[in-house]
Amino acid sequence: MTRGFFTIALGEEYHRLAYALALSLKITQPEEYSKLSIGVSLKEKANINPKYLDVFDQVIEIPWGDLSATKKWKFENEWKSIHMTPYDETIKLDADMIFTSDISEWWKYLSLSEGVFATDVKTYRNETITSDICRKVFTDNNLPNVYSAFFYFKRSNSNFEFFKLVEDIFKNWEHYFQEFFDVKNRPTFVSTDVVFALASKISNYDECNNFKVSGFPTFVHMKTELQKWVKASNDPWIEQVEYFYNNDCQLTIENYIQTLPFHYQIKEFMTDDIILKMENKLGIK
Amino acid sequence: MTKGIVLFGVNNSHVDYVKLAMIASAFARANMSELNICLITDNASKNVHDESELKKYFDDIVIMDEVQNLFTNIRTYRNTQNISVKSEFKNEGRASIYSLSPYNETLLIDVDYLICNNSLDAVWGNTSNVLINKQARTFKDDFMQANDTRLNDFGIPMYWATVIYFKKCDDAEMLFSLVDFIKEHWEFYQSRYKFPGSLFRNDYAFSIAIHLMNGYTESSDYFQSLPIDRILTVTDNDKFYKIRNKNTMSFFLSNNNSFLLTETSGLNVHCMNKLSILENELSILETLK
Repeated sequence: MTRGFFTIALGEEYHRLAYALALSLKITQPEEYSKLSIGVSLKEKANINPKYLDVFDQVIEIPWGDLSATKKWKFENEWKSIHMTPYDETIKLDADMIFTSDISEWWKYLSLSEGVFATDVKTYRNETITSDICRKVFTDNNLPNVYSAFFYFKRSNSNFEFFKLVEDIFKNWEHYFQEFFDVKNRPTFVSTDVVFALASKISNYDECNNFKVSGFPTFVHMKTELQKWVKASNDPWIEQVEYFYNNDCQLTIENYIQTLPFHYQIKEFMTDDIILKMENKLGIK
Repeated sequence: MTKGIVLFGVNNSHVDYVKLAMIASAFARANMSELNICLITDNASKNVHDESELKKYFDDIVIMDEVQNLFTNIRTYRNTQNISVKSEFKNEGRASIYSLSPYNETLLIDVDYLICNNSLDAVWGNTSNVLINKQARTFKDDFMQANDTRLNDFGIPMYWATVIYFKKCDDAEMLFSLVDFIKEHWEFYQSRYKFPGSLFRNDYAFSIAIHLMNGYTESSDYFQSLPIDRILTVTDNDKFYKIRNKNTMSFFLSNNNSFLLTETSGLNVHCMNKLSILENELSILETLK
């Protein structure tokens, strides 16, 4: 039984972010739980920074072509994750995340289910995010509040079926949205979380998996609007709060030490200085 | 195992904190089960009052060494928006209460916290080593100002040092030691935690100490709240008006440039307008006799 993390990383910038994610996993997780494989397009595969290749477990070519090659938001290949991951059990992540502490204990609970999404995500102060300001579609259409940025799944027949449905929704999202969403609450564009949420709802994914352990899986979601600030503006969070990544690779935001997987969202957060600190910690030259 | 209430009061030129402690003691005696009450003060404050008068209200009196004040803590004492005096706020000795309390279990209350029910009887023998609230509400059940909920909008939650239960134990000792340390390094902690104002404020020091003891995280498990999880607060824009009986008081609450007369029955109230409590000293002590 193999276990590991997987993310799709398209473009040089995302290779770099995925590299930082891989470094953070190596720093925080026990060796057997620290593998990250990435999915890339065929034309990128040969051009990945060799330094990165030493840290990734496997670099896997996205099958059946890169469906997002001409798109700004690169999520059209998400449904292929189950076909790409080299592991029997996978935690699929967004590339713009880092790990801040050992969460390897989660695996034994996650593996009691076929698949589990993060749901009750947190602010950097560990408050559960309850605002639906960015998720009106979910509230209005009674969708399960899933976050595909952290999605555990087994390579099983039922999950191949589930991803097949995800594929179908991605490819025919206008039809599905028309069918399942009331006209006044219907999104006019497709997004990964809505697709996974709709697929979950249609397939009763949550009920099938019946995951009852409260408190995880979760992660810190740094979307500025979700931080439960009273007076702050909607400027990027990195411009509003003090944060510090120390030489021991511990992340502190406004005096809060971060211990959960950290979805920083703002790409500028991942500076060369942070990557250098990670490399130093791991002895990478 | 000894247990009791501790009141901390050091007078300044305008406010007789020892008298306020007598009033707070009288409220506690009238509304809680029998218990010891201790005053921690300094010689100068104690000597303002007769020994016999003090003995009526306090089972124990602990005289603290003169506190080497690190701050010139000049505070405005308001009696509604119409009257105010500036005077020294001598609150720096509070961190030493851990060692000065004569009791194994201590309920530390501010001298302007008026106890009108027996809910705090439930603290004795608690499984938690420290109980402290992080909510203060007005009579309208509103939060206090935004910076009374968190030290700043991005920062840690505000705990209220108005009422603290603690046992003599390593956890409590560490908490009070940290408060002392934070006080000594106030400028540093102000720069780190970005709280407003220039006064040394025990609420901030305890909030930071709790944050440090929680491992720089926001855990709700370690420091539990008191049996009633919020401090009902009357600000110094409001005014203590009258005591009707041992657990019924009335206040004038400021309300859009006028006052609203409000009566409370069986509610513990943090009445920040100390001057208005002292104005009613005789009637309060007579009623609670």
